[in-house]
Amino acid sequence: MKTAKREDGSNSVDKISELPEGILQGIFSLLSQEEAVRTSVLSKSWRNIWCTRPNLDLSDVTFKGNKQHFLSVVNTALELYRDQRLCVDEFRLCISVGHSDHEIFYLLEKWVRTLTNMSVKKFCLRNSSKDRNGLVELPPVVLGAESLQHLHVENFMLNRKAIRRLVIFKHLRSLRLDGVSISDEIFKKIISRCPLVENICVDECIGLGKIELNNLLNLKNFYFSDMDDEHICTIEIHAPYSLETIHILEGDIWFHKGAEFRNLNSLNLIGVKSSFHHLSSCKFPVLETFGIRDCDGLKEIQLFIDAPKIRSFDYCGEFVPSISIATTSSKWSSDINLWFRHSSDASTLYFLKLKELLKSLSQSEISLSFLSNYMNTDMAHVFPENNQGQEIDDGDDQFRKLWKRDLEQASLEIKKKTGGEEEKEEWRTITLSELQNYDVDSKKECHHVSLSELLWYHQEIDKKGCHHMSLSDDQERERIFTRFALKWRQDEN
Amino acid sequence: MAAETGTPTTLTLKSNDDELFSVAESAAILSVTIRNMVEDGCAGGVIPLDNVDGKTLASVITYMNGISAIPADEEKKKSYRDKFLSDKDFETLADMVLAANYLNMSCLMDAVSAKIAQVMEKKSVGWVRRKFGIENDYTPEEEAAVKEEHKWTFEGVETDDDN
Repeated sequence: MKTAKREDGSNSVDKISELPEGILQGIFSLLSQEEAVRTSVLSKSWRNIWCTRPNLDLSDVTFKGNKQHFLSVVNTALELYRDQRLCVDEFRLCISVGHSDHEIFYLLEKWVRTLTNMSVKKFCLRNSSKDRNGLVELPPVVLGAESLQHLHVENFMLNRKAIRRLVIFKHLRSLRLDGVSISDEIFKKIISRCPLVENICVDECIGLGKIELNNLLNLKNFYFSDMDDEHICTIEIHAPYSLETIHILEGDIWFHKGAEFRNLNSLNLIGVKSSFHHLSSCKFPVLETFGIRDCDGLKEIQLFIDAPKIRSFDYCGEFVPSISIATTSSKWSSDINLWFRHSSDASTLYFLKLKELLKSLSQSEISLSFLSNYMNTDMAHVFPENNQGQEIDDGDDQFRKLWKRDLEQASLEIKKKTGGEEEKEEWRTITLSELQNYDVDSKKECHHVSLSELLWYHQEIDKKGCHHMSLSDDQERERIFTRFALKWRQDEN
Repeated sequence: MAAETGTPTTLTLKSNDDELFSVAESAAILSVTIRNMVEDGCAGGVIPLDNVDGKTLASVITYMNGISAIPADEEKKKSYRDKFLSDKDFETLADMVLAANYLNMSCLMDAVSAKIAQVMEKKSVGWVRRKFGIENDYTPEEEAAVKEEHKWTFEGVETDDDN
């Protein structure tokens, strides 16, 4: 055992170098690559301890040094592992590769071969190059690494050549393609070689027109996102029994009539272009979270969701949809966010539709927000009877009239957020005296506030809260959010 | 074996330097090693723990009692662990991680490993040597060579004052 003088002058044993390899591995896997490698300078016995770390994570974006140096660091590290017959379970590499970087291609091939021999389990290969001459081909060896359980490829081209050595990935559980250029045919081929895949993430890929998910009996999570407005990708899911999460951002999804999503827990549809006619006939026996946002397909239809276990429903869009949810759930919430683009949006029809929607969701705890991005959108126009919050006679409140029968109580809730820190302040009902703090213009004594006044406060506080709501100096960077809590009368019929 | 009456069962643990400790069975079975002994019915007399010294075992038992008193609330447990480890010096941490490994207590093991990693973060080589009691057996030339080999890892690190 090695001893050395410690800070307090006592001799102590170098315990950490004596720790069993399993423990050291655990500790080293928590360090960053730099921290881990740096320990080699501590002493001779520490020289190669960092190699017990089962993960290698190297990025030329954060690397301090030139490209050649980076390549040699990666190369040396892998050789060290190989020569000591150590295994790399997880290899993450972010590297800039352009079309003319032949040396890097050569090295990549070599590295992936070494890793394959070590039975690497997780492999993440990202191209940090912003080469405008298009994406470079993925070295074919990557799709030949049979031992992989997780594969993440970013910013490469997957063409025929790239899948030349495609194997059957018997162990692959997660496949993530990020900013990859790929055709339908190639995608289909790759997927068909991943029989046990559980997670598929297709993030902003180029060239896909249709994705069919077939025969993937273990598929649990499917994430798709696309920013390409011109080419819309259609997603078709056959036999969706194993799926637990579906998240579609800017794509089309076709629901088969009467499809049963037996295990689906979470469904999120954002900017989905397709019509949702068949969605109403689908069954979601365990669905808990349902979110739908900016989906034009909702415009013309009445959507009915059969989700007995629903816990939260979120809607965000420019129009008031017609949605009802059949559920046996006793406690669930609806979060409705409506955008106002023009003051003309606020027609009587608009409010009638809103009333219908709120009524159909009235078994849930509803949170309703009106969002407006436009500085020139004047809420006074939206609620024409609102005189900037002054002298409002509650009886003339058109808003209230519409809902009078159903609405038992409305209150304004407030939440504050200070500085950059994510403070978890809960929503709470604003008090009358507090309300006056925000009422800069009219300093009247108020004992009762009408609904339209509340709306006005909501708008005013929102406006000010986003800028500088300095209640006192130390709260300078405080942001204030408000929302309504509406309590509905229980249906007596 | 589990008590049939309502009174909690106590176990007696013996460290490798022959210190005896009693601890409630419900807390002690956080250690999978001890739980297996209890389940196999070999926890009747004194349980010898040949790889743990008395000082470390006392610490581990404090942890066992503390953490098992907290109901199932991961956040509270985490803050207890953080507090428990906050004043431990490095030598104690190394002893504890060894003990946790031997006793098969994954939650303690993970927490101590994370603490050790955290202690090492962004620290100069000299600091880590002093703190961990590591003797530098490199010649200055060798050390310079190793440093040169890995010089990319020395950016943004505290500079050494004495080496």
